[in-house]
Amino acid sequence: MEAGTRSFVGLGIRSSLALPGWIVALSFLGVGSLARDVGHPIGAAILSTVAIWAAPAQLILYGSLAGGGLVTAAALAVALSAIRLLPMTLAIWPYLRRPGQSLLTQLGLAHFIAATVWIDSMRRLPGLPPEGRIPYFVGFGATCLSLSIVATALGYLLVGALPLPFAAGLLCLTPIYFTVSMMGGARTAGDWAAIGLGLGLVPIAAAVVGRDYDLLATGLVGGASAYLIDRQARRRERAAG
Amino acid sequence: MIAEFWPYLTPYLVVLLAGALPNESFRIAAVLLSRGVDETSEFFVWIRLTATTLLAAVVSRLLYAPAAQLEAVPLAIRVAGVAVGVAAFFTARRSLLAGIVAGEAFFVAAAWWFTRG
Repeated sequence: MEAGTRSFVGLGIRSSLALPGWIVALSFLGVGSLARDVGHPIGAAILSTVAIWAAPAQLILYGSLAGGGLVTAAALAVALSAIRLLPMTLAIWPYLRRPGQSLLTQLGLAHFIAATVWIDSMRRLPGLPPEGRIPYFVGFGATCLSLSIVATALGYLLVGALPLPFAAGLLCLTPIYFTVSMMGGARTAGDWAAIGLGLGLVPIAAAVVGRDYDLLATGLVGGASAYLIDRQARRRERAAG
Repeated sequence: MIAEFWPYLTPYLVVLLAGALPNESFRIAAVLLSRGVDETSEFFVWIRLTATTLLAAVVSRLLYAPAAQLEAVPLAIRVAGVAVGVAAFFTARRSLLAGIVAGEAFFVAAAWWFTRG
């Protein structure tokens, strides 16, 4: 590895260890405990973190299984929660795309994309030189993933012993953390509209189209509305400036 | 032989087929669709805002229809925990740590108060 590359990997590792890596790991304690609640072995719990690498999808998977639901219904619920990964990956791709990359490399990079890594990278990557972006991204993502694997195992082994307020607190960490970091990353009127519409439309969408399609409907309607609000705000800014 | 190991393999297959497969499909689809996405285009702005909306929607779903132990705590406390976290984040000059600690502290205290005997 070249010295330059190594220093960007180090930058990614340090920026993950500075806070986000620990927070995301704490939220995986809850995932580990849920895996044990549904009777899975610890190996399957760890596999879920390695192979899925998306806390909401894992919370939804184990939540559906715990409710005694069908495995196919659980898979559908996971798929609907994972739709966001498509636009998230597309949005970050211009910063990770390099000439001559193999498809396998691209799929490997894409596997790291999840909320924490995405929010941090969307903020940091544009300011880094193009050759430093992938090393930073991999350093950051691999650190978050490693800490989360350890946390999944610890959660599996330990959380059952926690009193309810603390066990519930670990499960509430993902929503609190995601909301605060999304708002911390918001820059434009469109970003704020997207956050507000995403949070607010789900109960309404669940009432209108049902619990199965609430995420899809919210994404389509809320995303398009946020875009129109953003375009309007940019026009007004141009007219004023 | 396979029948003998089947009960041990089932959880791993459930994780891979009902979890990893539907989840990873969207990352793979994005990589395959990504050719020619221009980061300065209007299409890209729409994609980015749809991604943010869906992330917020998943948060909303986790609060509104949560798993296991979280369901034992009333919706008002879950939502208030997030609100306290956001308020603390902005009050403490956008400190992520302050936001999370305050939100969690409020949530655990309120959940304890609600579930006590």
